[in-house]
Amino acid sequence: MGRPTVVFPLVLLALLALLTFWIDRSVQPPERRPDANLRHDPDYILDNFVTTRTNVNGALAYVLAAVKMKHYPDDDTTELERPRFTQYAVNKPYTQIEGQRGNVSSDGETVEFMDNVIVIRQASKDKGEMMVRTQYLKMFPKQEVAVTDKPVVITQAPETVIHANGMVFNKKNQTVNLRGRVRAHYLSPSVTKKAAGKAPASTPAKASKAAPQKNAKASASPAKKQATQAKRSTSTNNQARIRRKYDNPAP
Amino acid sequence: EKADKDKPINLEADAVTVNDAKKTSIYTGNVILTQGTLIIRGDKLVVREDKEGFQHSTTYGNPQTPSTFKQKMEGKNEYMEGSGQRIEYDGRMDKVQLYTKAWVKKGDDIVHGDYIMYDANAEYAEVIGGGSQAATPATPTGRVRAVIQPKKKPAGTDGATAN
Repeated sequence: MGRPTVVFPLVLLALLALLTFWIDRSVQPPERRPDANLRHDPDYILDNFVTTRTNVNGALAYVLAAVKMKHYPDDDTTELERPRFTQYAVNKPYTQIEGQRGNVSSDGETVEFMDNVIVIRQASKDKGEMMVRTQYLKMFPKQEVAVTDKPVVITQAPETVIHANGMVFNKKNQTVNLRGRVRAHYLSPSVTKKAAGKAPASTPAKASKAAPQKNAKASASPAKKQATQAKRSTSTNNQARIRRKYDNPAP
Repeated sequence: EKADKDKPINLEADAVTVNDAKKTSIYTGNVILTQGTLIIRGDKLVVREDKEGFQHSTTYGNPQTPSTFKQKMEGKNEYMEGSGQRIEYDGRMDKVQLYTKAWVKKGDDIVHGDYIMYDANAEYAEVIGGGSQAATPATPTGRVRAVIQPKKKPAGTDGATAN
């Protein structure tokens, strides 16, 4: 009796175990290696940028400014931090939308603004400045439609305040549908007619080299507007420059 | 009351459609409009603004709950109330028109008719009966029917005690 006779069956047994383990491994489907484009990682990031777009004949179409922008290749979406989107139209007041966060879908079909969304439509000669405040706004730029199902507060100088729980705003045929218990407060037209005579149109005053703050004082808008104006980030300077250039094109 | 004209307008409704191009706004669903002492209720309210900015409003009710309006009268603490399937208010002419199964109550006097028109500027009212199909519980024949209370003599001017 010697040592070898005991060792032989053990070795045989180990070999068999190894064999079954190997067969089991090869039968398994290959486990997925972390594929690069499955991960949701941005491929380019922009900080504090301002993009300006003009239409075919060079007139200013829109300005998009944001603190940070991340573009994701896997679903071709774009994330924005504190975006501000300003849309200009020929001899129509500009519309400006601000939010804490924004999302642009892959083909730019839908643009979403989230958290403290403020829409400002500049005053025009017959209507005061209109401001819409909500927590969420989904925009379809091509159809010029903006939709929200969150509570909305619409204020229009001089004293109109409207509360609602949902809104569909169609800029092209200029209709606004409000849902949920709507509460509206207007000045009676007879008063607004008298008031309209006195209050100067609140479009920015004659262009001057002044800083934007002076520009804010020049337009006769409520103190609330100056507060938001003061809080604006640095891009207000070229904002005002663009507006001046746009309002008074070179003769 | 005249002062109501300059008071702000408060409106409540379930849904609103505002059309800036046509300068009309349509309020639907349990609409309540208040301006000073004027209160208008209805199922649907259409406000149209003409070029000079005058507002014309049309309020629609339904057979169960007609649209109603109520306003304090000038100088007196009496109220003027009215109701009808449709109430039209012409802002420029300051004229109220009530259509179908309408009644207007001024203080204690009440008048029923198929069409009632009241022109605030000219202090002129017109009531037209509607024949049998305009019958209402108050006027089974559908003709104009008014109930005018005897004016009580102001108390204490003479000995007679008003009944």
